[in-house]
Amino acid sequence: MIDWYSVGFGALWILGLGLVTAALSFANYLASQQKRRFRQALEIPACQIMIDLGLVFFCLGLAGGVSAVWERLLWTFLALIFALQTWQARKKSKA
Amino acid sequence: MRGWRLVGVIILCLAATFFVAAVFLLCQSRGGYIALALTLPVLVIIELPRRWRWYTLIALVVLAIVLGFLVATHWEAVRIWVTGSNLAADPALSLNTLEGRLEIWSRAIYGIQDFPFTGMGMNTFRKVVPVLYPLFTISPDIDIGHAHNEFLQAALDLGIPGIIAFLALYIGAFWMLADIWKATRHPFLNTERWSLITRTLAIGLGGGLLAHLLYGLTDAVSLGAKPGVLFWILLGLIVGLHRQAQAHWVVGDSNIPAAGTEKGLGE
Repeated sequence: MIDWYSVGFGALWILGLGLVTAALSFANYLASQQKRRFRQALEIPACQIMIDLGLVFFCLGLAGGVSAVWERLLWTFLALIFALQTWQARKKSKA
Repeated sequence: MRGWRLVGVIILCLAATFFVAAVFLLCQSRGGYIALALTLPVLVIIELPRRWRWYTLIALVVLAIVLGFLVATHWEAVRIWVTGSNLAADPALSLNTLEGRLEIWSRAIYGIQDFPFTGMGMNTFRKVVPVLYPLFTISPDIDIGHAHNEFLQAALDLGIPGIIAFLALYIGAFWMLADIWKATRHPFLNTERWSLITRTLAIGLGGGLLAHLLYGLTDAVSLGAKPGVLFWILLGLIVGLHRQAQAHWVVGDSNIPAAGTEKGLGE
């Protein structure tokens, strides 16, 4: 009755965009609270990690949702790049 | 806060807790019971020291595996016990609505596929479903007010942009709570009295939000519905607490990093 496969991958890219929206929204809130520029607030590691992680989910969700092999490979490649960026941002925040 | 004021606050808190507990038991919501059963261990684990946290987590995982194994191997007996006894008449304990929920969720997904950008409009699900996506296992006389899943309902009401914003609200609220939690563990702030109060408030609000999220997986309070205001109050309290805590930690000590800074609380 329910195609759980497409629901799962659909939920993944929607969650990814949710993470990105939350990061942008939080950066905007911090910028207004601390009288900083939006760009500066966006540079904090927490926002960077959240945006990169959101993009990983977004790319994985789309990779699972497309039918052509080359599209799937492309989205997976992008997901890997963003995963690498997430890891780097995490490492930077711990340093 | 001293003397009779403290006693008054404690009595008020206990009275409110008993009132909410009574309402909770009488409402007979399975989603609510499951949400409470999952949220309470999470709150306990968060409060425990780091070493005990891992032991407790491992014990809970082992318990869940054992329970899952027992239920899976004796599923038929469990089903007969629940549906073939007087408990089946109790709407909180019967299993016969699961099929109905699956059917409603499938109709909700059709609705989202047909109206992805704008949704079908707030609170129109009950009118649209009988016309466009009639149900087979549920009588048309029964009014299906919502999709029995908060996230599907948000997508139906407001479209996919709406569900993205709704998810962002949840994520942002949990983020703020994590920020507050980290701040209260900061060595400079931990010595102060407000730390304990703020921690208690943060864990209470976080538990409420988590329970609401878990409840929302199998049931829903529609975004436009009157009781929905409680969810917005919860979000408002979280933001208020974050702003108050932020003002405290920014003004308090120059050594304490401000929220969201590179070395600080937004990490």
